[in-house]
Amino acid sequence: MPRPPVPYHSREVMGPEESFLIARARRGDAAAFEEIVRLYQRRVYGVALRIVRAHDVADDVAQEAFLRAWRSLERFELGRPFGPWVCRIAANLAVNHVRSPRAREQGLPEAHAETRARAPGPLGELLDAEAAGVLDTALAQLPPEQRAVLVMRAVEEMSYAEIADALGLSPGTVMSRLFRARERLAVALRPYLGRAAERRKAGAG
Amino acid sequence: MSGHEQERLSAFLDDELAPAERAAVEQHLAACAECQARLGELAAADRAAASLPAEPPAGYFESFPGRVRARLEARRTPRGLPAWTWAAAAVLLLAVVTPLTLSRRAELAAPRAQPTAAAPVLDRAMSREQPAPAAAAQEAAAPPAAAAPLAAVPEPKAAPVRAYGERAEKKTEAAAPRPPAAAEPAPATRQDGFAAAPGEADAREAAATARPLEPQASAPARDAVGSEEEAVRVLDEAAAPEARTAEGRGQSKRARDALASTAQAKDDAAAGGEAGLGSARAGAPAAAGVAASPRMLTVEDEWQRLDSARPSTAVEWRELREEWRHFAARRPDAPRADEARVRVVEAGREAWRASGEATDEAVFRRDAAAYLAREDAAQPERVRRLLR
Repeated sequence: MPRPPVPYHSREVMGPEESFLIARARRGDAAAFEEIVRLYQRRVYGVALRIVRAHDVADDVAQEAFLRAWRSLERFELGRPFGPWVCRIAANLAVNHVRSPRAREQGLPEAHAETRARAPGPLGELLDAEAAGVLDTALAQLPPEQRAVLVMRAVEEMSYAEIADALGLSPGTVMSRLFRARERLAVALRPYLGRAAERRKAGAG
Repeated sequence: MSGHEQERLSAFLDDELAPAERAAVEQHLAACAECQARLGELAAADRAAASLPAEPPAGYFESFPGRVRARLEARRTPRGLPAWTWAAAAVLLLAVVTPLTLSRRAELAAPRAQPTAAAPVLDRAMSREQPAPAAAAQEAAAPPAAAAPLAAVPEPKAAPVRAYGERAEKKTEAAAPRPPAAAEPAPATRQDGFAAAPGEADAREAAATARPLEPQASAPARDAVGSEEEAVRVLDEAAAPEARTAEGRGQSKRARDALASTAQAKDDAAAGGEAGLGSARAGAPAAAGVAASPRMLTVEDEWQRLDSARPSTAVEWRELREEWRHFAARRPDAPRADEARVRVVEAGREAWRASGEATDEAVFRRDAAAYLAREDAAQPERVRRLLR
């Protein structure tokens, strides 16, 4: 069912403590910025890893994203949530990386140890380990641009306009890429989704 | 259903359709089981993609913030002002302050046995005075009323020129290492000192402040004083207006320290922004050279100075830590005292990071624990994060 219409920026409210850290960081306080990094590192790394699919590259991208955020802190509007802003920077860097000729030459790891489900988490109810492997492979085989759009929407819950802005696309392109990514995943998952639905029915009955 | 229509289904999921389109899709969905199933699949794709864990190797997030910070510090220039302005300010300051300070130092130290003892303190004084060069210059230029008579008294050690309250403590640290706790001024005493105090209270405070300095006093000086009571009496005299006549009576080192401490109290009071000129006048004439100068550092100035400090070494972080401690102790009830106490912990952590020494870690942990034990701690979560 459709999500309720909630604007992305109002979903996160920046606490006074966080605003204060950012204000300090803007004046060049590296200790304050380190605290900000601590608060957002998981999100930023997660976005980067899901797009580039290799820990070493994701690490580079995440570091670079924070360094760029630090350098352009003056442009950051105080009071707005910092998370989406730095995640956009990370997503943009990650896509640029996977688009780069060198990355294309090296190819992307198909199955990715870091992203593979290791224990029955939220996905465990929906999919078994085999399905998780299939999903992971399907994600790896998506064109990077599609994968980036999917990650930004499905994980970061960014609006089309925000994704378009971050990746330099039109909202229409975001819409079609997102649909194609979802469709490919849905096709790959179809057998497992049916099985999961049957299991749920059996469990309920 | 065409590809375009399915795309609209996907956008419907994200609530990214115009109202008219949205209504059309809703209408179609109500009647079409196939599209309902498609919509469910597309939504499942999102959930599946989001639920795959994205975990780095163990320990990654512990070191990541520090690595980012190391990189940004490696290439930083001071924010706000271009780098050259800082360099220019430093050069200008040295050009103005050095001759003045040196001449005053010579005046103070001329007859003394170990004039070199003052050098590190003076160096520190100069570096500290950078944030307020004008004030420093004024102070250095103001003729210290009591300096000349005091200089006539043979002393084993040169007295430092004090511009900021903490210098006395620093000097003591240098002269006789002691536990960090001892460096903490008693808040109550300081508080008293900051209210517009009459002369006697000032002198008492001076005596109280002077006591921690005792280890500095040379053995002969201590003998000359005799007893603690005597010391206080001498201090009271020294602080009273008639102390001018006390010159040549063979004042003790301790009395000198007390005078200097009174000057320190004046400075602290000025830094606290609460001491009117009346209070300054009521104090020891020995302090007049300093206290009568128009420098009135407000709390705001002091805050700005500490807040803009950018230490890069463990020693500097320790100094900043103690200055924040001092700030919080002087104004224990001020709203910003809480922030200052958190800064103590932060600076302590940085000192430890920079030095890797167990003593810094111990101070950091002790400060953090002390903060968390406070009933009025307003930012416990921030301090707990520092501990992690």
